[in-house]
Amino acid sequence: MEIGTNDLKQGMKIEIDSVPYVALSCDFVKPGKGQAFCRVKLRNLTSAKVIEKTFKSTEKITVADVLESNLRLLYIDQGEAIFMDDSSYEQTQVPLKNLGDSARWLKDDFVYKVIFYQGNIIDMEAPTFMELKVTQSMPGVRGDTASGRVMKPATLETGAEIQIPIFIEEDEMIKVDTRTGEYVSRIK
Amino acid sequence: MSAVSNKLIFRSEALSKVRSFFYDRGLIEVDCPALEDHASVDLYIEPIETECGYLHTSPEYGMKKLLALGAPDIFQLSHVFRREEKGTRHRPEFTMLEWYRKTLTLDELIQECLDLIALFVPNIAYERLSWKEAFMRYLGIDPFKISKEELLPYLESLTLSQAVLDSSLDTLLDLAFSELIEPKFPPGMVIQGFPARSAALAKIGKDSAGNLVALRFEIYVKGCEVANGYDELGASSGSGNELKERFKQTLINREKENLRTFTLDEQLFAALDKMPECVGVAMGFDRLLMLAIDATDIQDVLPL
Repeated sequence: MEIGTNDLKQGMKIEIDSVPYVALSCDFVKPGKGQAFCRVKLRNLTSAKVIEKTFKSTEKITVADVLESNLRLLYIDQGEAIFMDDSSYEQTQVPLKNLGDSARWLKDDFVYKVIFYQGNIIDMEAPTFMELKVTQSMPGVRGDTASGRVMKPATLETGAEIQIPIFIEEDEMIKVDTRTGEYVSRIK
Repeated sequence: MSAVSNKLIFRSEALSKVRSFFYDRGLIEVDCPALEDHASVDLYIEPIETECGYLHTSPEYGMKKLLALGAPDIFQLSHVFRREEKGTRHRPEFTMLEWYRKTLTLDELIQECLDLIALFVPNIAYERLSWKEAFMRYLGIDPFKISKEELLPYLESLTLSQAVLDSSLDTLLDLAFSELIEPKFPPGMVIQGFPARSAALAKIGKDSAGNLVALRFEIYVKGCEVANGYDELGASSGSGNELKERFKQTLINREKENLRTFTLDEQLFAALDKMPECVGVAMGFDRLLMLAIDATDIQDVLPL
């Protein structure tokens, strides 16, 4: 489906040269009493890069076949994540490798924002903050701060490997910012 | 006092200031109809059509007919309508201030514009450049001599779509002017010497290098285009016929671009044959208000 660049609104998903973008902003420009243009800011949905482009306001652009869904992870089985749409009960199976880096935040029964392009998942966003258990970490040695170390590596229940403060031990629950992979706080 | 009241009071006082400015200078206010039998003829402005006529895109044609009938110096402050124009500085319906002076030269009109603008945006010093000088100073190119191939590298930062890259040299020059040159202007700038193709209903002359230029000026305040003025084609320039020829050419150009064409208003041409010599200017009233309060979106100064 095509729309005129003049009708492009913030948040719309479009496709240029088979790459999906989301429109961040569009401004109408009318230089010299001549032809009108639209200066558009776009974020590439596959690479997350932001680009700008100048179109003629009468140009047609293709609406991208992009769908955003909130899906609940039911379970992981043999390298595949099984998601379910809470409203339709429809289930979707996605190979873990398709989820890339985001797969390290997958935990049963959590809801994730999944972006489909032409029927394939191109991006997945975990909830911004998650409370996860530390499943593996070397015990912190008291007094180690002399050497300047305050953080140590750890593995969380989802498989994510992050840095945590040395006073956090295995089996403790912590709050993590999934956008940066950073420890936020200890959950008592 | 609510934010809405403040906005309305500001706008009401601005309307009053503008009217006083012109009454003090001896002009009278007119209100030509917005609904016309014929569409405005312009290559890049789309009129809005209704079941009973076209909404005017500016009061120009009506005001010129009045001048031909013997009206004194006149101004009009009214809503004008343009299809599909919406952005931070554009709306399909906006308020245009337009006036015509039989007794001023183009330079005197420019000064009158600056005096009016000063009521809203004071303490600005204005520089004057020709369109060509602006290109030379800010991009280092001569717009009358450069070819499309030579111009394209300068436009790379604008990341143009293929359709834009395929447009004419004139379109690309206009884009370069508005996107690469205007943002570099000092707070006050007056540009004259636009290429003859943009003359609309203005006289055409020659610059010192012999290039055909429109006797036209534009005023930019803080990088925003606020006024567009002309030394109008009047009776002595055989203007009725000249204008008819220009309009016919515009309609041909519109057809080439798959735009709608219209019937011509013979009454307008007849009027122009009787119109005295004059200079005229159109100013975006809403933009003037935006500049007065440093608004970033035209919605900030509109009542609804």
